[in-house]
Amino acid sequence: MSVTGFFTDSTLCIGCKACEVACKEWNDVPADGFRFSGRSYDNTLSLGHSTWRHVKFVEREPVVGRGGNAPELMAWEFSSDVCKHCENAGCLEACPTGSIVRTEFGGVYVQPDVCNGCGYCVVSCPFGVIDRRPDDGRAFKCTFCYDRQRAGEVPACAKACPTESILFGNLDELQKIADARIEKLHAFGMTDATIYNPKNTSVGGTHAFFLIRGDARAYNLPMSPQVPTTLLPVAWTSAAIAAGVLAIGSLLAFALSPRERVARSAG
Amino acid sequence: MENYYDLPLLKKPVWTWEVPVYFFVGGAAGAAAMIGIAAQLSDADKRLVRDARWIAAIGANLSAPLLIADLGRPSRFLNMLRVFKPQSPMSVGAWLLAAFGGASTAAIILPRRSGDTAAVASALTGLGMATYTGVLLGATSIPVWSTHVALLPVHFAASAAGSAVSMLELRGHRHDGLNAIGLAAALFETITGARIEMNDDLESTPLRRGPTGTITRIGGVLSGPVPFLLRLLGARSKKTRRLAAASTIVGSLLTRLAWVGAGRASARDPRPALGG
Amino acid sequence: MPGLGTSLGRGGATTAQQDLANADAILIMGSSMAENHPVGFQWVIEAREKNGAKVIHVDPRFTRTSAMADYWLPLRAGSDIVFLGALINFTLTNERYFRDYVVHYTNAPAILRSDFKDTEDLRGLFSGWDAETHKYDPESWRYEGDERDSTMQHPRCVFQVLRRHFARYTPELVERSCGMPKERFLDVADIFTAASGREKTGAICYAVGWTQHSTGVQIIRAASILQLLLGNIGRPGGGILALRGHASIQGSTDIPTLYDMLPGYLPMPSDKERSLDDYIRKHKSPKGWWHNLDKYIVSLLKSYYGDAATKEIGFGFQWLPQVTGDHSYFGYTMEMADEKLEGLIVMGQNPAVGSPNAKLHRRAMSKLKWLVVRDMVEVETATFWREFPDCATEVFFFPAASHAEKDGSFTNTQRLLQWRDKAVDPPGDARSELHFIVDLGRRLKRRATDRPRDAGLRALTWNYKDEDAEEVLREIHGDAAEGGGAPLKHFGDLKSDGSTACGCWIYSGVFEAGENKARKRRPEGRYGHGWGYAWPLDRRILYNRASAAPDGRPWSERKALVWWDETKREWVGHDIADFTRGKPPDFQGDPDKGGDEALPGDAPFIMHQDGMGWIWVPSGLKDGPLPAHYEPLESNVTNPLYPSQQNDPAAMKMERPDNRYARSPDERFPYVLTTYRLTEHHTAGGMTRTLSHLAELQPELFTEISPDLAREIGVTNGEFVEICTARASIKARALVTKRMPPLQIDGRIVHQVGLPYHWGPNGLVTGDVVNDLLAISEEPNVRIFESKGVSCNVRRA
Repeated sequence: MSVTGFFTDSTLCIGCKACEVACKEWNDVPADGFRFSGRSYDNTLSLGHSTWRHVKFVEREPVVGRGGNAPELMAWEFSSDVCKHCENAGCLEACPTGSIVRTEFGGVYVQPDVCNGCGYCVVSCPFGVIDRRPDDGRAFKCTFCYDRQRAGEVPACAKACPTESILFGNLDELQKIADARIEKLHAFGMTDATIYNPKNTSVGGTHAFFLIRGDARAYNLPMSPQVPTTLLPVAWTSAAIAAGVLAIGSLLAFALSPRERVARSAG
Repeated sequence: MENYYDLPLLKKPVWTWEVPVYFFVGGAAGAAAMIGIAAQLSDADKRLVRDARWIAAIGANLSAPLLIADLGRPSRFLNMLRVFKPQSPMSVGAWLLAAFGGASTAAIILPRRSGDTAAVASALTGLGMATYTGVLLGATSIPVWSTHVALLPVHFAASAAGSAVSMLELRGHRHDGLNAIGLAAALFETITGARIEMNDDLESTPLRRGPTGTITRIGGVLSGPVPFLLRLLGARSKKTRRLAAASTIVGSLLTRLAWVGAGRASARDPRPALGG
Repeated sequence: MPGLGTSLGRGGATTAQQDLANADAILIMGSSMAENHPVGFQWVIEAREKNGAKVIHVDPRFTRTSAMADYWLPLRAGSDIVFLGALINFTLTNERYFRDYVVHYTNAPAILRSDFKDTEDLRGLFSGWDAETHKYDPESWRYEGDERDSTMQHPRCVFQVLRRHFARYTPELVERSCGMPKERFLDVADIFTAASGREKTGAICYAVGWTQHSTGVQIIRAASILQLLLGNIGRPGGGILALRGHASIQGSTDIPTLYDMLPGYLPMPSDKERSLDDYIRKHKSPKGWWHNLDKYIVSLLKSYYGDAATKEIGFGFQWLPQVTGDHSYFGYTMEMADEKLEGLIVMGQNPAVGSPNAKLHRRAMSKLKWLVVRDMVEVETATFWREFPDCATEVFFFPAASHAEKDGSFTNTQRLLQWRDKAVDPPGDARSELHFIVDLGRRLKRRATDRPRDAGLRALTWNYKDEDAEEVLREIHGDAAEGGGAPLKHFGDLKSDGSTACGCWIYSGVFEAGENKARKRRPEGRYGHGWGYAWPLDRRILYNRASAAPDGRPWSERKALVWWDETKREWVGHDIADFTRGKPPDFQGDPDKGGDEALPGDAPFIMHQDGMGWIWVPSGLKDGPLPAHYEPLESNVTNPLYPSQQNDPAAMKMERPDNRYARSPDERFPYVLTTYRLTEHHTAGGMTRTLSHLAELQPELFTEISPDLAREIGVTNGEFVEICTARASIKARALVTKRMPPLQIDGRIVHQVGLPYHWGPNGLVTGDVVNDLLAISEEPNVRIFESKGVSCNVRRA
């Protein structure tokens, strides 16, 4: 089975949010609150248990005479975010029930019939994607439209995207498309265009990757995301030392101390 | 520094009060199991050994309900034992708790020889109980936790040991071994508290500032310098030791609440998680 | 659509959205296309990415569209004609026009009468103005004769008049009046006018950002003039794309919901036209396509009245309703407010929220005896009475089927009929419009009396099944009239002798040989023929004869679209020729034969009497043969060109106590208000405020203001502000953004205030009704109100 991926090109995104709506529609995801955020046109604000696609609106100062496609400057950048489906996925590693699995398409999938809502995946995701839905109790995130992929269909978000900002397909081929795109944009003068795909960190690359302009942090993307399992050697070593000290210390404390001086008082 | 409207990058831990209380109860119970064995081997008072086993068993049997209560789908708690994943501290912990719960319960209900065997098993798994919660928090994406990944298991072990001896002392036990352990734990906690205070990295901000900073500080003082001085100066006074014990227990509980709270605060701040 | 209709011949977009991909430059103005037509915008992106086309967006706000454009120029709402006029002037003075095209395909060489006087001569008025009736007499706007000066040097030829008319529309004036730096204007003018000539084309896209002005038609006229000068009509990657406000707005002008039009742009008779002969005499033109008008009206009458429509009684012409006054939407709304109307049926509309001066509409409805509302959800129009404790209007609410719950067709923005099959049954008692109308018709016919006034109702053919939309489409397509004859292929077969019947001649052809072509779903070729059916006769690019030079060869290989094939002796190419198929390029028109045969083989604008694109409109417009800049009806800026003529003289303000205006200037209302729509919501919100997936994306009414204005009035982002006009006052959250820049107009700062208008009191997300702020006004030609460039004030709530 071919490993699939998403390549989301922010320079083609028009911020229409069709991906958000198509995702909710297909996956029957409930409403996420009716709150005005005051943060540009983004009232969704982040991915979460009930938002699996999220369009970010990065607002900068527009300059008269230059539209957003001018090479020198971006004034209003849109970027559709999604679960990264990491090569080394923090949530998957952390899941104690085996609910989170890797599918035959390479995606990371939460089996809703297994998840017991322990919440450990929530703190194990370096991208802040997965979350527990309070009224349901289970953890939810993008399924990579596993059901649609099984049926040979494109995920709902990619299907709905009018400008092909969200491309879905074979991961290697998407990578080639992305490389060519970067080359083209650089030739056009958009030298700040980069691919965000943390291959050089412990995450080991993602199956959903992005083309953005400028500082990744402006898109709420971490500079150097790490899968928490890299911390396990240090953590368990520390735990082993602590256990050893506690064991030996207790034994010594009693071995070296005289018997109890005073009998146990009543009560 | 650039970020996205100061919005959080990470999701805050969904755990409510049950989890930090479990960290405290489970840790103390685990340490108590170990202390019980140490006491038994040194031929200490039988009642001390028995009380230590009881604390371990009661702690273990409180732990499971606390954890289950915090699950989003409590009825599915058994799914925890569906697989064993060494790379998941939560999975390791679930199995540890299951084993510890069985062993510590067996240690109080089984007759002599089998009870003793169970107590050994209880102590071994108890060591895990006292330390793994540090791994559980440390090996995550939450900056305030992961930055202290090396400290947390030791910190929680010391806190657990201090709480365990304090509980025994509140039961009236005056063995010098208990005071020695309490003294060592309080010393370690004092040093840890001082290190946190002196630390000025971005990741540790929630341990120093805001409500979680305050609770961390109070918890640190109550489980560190206060019992340390009391135990050092008033080891012979029953009252002083009870005071030291009570302070340790409250301090230890506050410390766990503070760490989990700090995790929530840490997830709210996008800067450390975004890096740069 | 007289803007496009008078300039080019038909009131429809000249091009298809897919064709934007072939453009070398795209000017989007009066539209946030990415925001409101996101699906069609993919072809703008394609042009940008594949051809390196330059995308230019001119808009008061930096919108999602600006964010995808190469150039963005802010302008003061209501200064559009200054900008476009300056582009025309730039084109003329810098010789950027496509001379061969202009000489052969437009009326620029036509000579005008000597008694014509321009606005430049009469301080803002054209000749023919009657100050008493407030109307123009267009007599002096006519051509002097049939003479054309191909050198375009004659002082009274259209080209020279145009040059003089726009001479004062300079980059300096753009800077002063629109508020954009003239250097930036010149950059953009250079880029857009370079998309011209044999090898290059440019397209213009607009939407209600142009139409909703008191000068809306003339703004579109200015764009038509520019595109004709640049030779961009009828050519691939060229054209003017009228982006419609929502699904099937084009369809509802083709088969109109308008009081003054019959299907297929046939004029509605007035009480002055006593007989069919009168009517035909008045409207049938000797040359060009409208020579066929008699065939179309007779076939329409046969379609309406069947066998009862005999030749002896003028095919039942006298049964048609007649225009006796202002029966326009706003006209009858005012009458309703004055208690002159008893009942109203509202379908697919939510005037309580969506109409200008919505408060007046709601109050007007409270004066009715009865009101019928059909909608998918309980829209505010059905619940308006809650606002009026003493309201005695009896409201009947009928649940309506949604588009997925009924068969039918949409006619989209590019005249494309697309059939849609019913997917699911409507819930409960909800029914389709067709079901409702068929049933209503039956009931009315049953009640028809023998009185003469009911004769038309009695004669009306009404043998529909309960709900068979294809049956209706078949009637629209037409057929041999009852009694036999060969099946009709398309409107070319229509007759004026009563032997054919046709419900809408421009759609005729959609059901050729019994096949519903609107249902076709196999697109082929560059323009997707085989997917749906574009009127007329599946032509995707109108006036495409202009894509070939007068000799019938393409202007260039790169821009080839249709051309004359000498061996086949017909027009061939990527599209179906919008031209008589076998009429060769060297055909000499024979005026004696009349109609299309009177036009030569190099006259692409076949609807017009002279076959030319009309840079100059000799007749058909009520406010002038050329566009001139007038300020919005409310403006704090004095008309810089014609200080003594502030507004379009023919525009109607309909001023009354419940429809007040601010003065011009008016220090109480210092800011410029412009309303608009968001991607996330649909017009008055009935279909989106009720759906959580959409409602949560824009949950609250907000107003976009600049940080400078926010500072001036002391509010911060997210706080509530009050926005008021001479009509009303509403509350909204402030969205403080640099995308809404203050402009330098005539040396002072002018702040603009943006307000999306989707909210009302019902639904999951609610908010004040923005349209309460607007006035009911009427553009002279199409009676559209002004929603852009309204004077307002904003203060902290």
